[in-house]
Amino acid sequence: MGNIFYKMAIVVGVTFVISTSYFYFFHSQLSSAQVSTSDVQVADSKGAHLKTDISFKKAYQWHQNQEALFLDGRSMEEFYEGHISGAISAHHVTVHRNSIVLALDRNARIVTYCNNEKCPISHMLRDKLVAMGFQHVFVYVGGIADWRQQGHSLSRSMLYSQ
Amino acid sequence: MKVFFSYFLLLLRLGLGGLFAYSGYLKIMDPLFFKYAIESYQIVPAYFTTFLAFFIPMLELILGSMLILGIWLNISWPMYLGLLLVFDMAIINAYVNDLEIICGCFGEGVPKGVDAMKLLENFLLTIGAGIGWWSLDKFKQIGSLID
Repeated sequence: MGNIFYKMAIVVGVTFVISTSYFYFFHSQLSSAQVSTSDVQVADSKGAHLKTDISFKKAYQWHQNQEALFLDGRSMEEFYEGHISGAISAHHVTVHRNSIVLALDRNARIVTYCNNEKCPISHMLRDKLVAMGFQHVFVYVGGIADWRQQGHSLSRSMLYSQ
Repeated sequence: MKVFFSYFLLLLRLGLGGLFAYSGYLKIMDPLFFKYAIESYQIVPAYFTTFLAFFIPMLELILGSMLILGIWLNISWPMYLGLLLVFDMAIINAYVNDLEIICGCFGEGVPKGVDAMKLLENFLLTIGAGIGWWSLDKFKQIGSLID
């Protein structure tokens, strides 16, 4: 029995050493992406500091005045079923390979959203975009559910999908 | 019958080992994605997810490779089973609490949420690992490099 624990310790030890080495290899990538989901502050275009979570009022204002790009972090199927008009489909998993997103200005104001406030995808997408170098990324926490609740219809246009 | 079962066990070992190694490899290729996947389960504190995002895939890859090559089967099977049970608990927790998550099971290759099918899939994998461990002393192990 002691022999078994000895072997297990070797396996765990070897795994720990390799994964730690691998971590340091990727350290720069991860450290730039480790953004707290609630307390992060970024500078807006006027130099003031704002919390990145925004409400419907702010999201709607930016949407109507075309002051922000909306990124939909959900799957293509969900995007097709209905999204905020003008939004770009940017699945959070593959956003780093999304050619539309890669072509965007890193200083553009971006708003991410997903289904509702319980959905973590919009924050994940925000973290990834920050890691990719985008400076002004905000999360519309209420997402699709809130948008509809406020009486606004959804678009099914696939113009900005990928 | 014993010979047949020995070959069945070989296939089981290669299949489950290959699946685990492949799953680990996909996660290693995109540790940032797996970190997000772990966070979405809302089980471990955020500061611990980075460590797990690197440690778990590497352990999967090593255990999967050990199973394929038949190295130290008396510890690779129970460790494999233990890891699967941890995954099972995480998935059941997400299912029960109706969490909207990405499974993270196969890296970014196959992103999907938790449903009854996923629970069944994990249950079958766990049963397979249990059979592999149970059979160690009872049947001849074919193709084992190091006992």
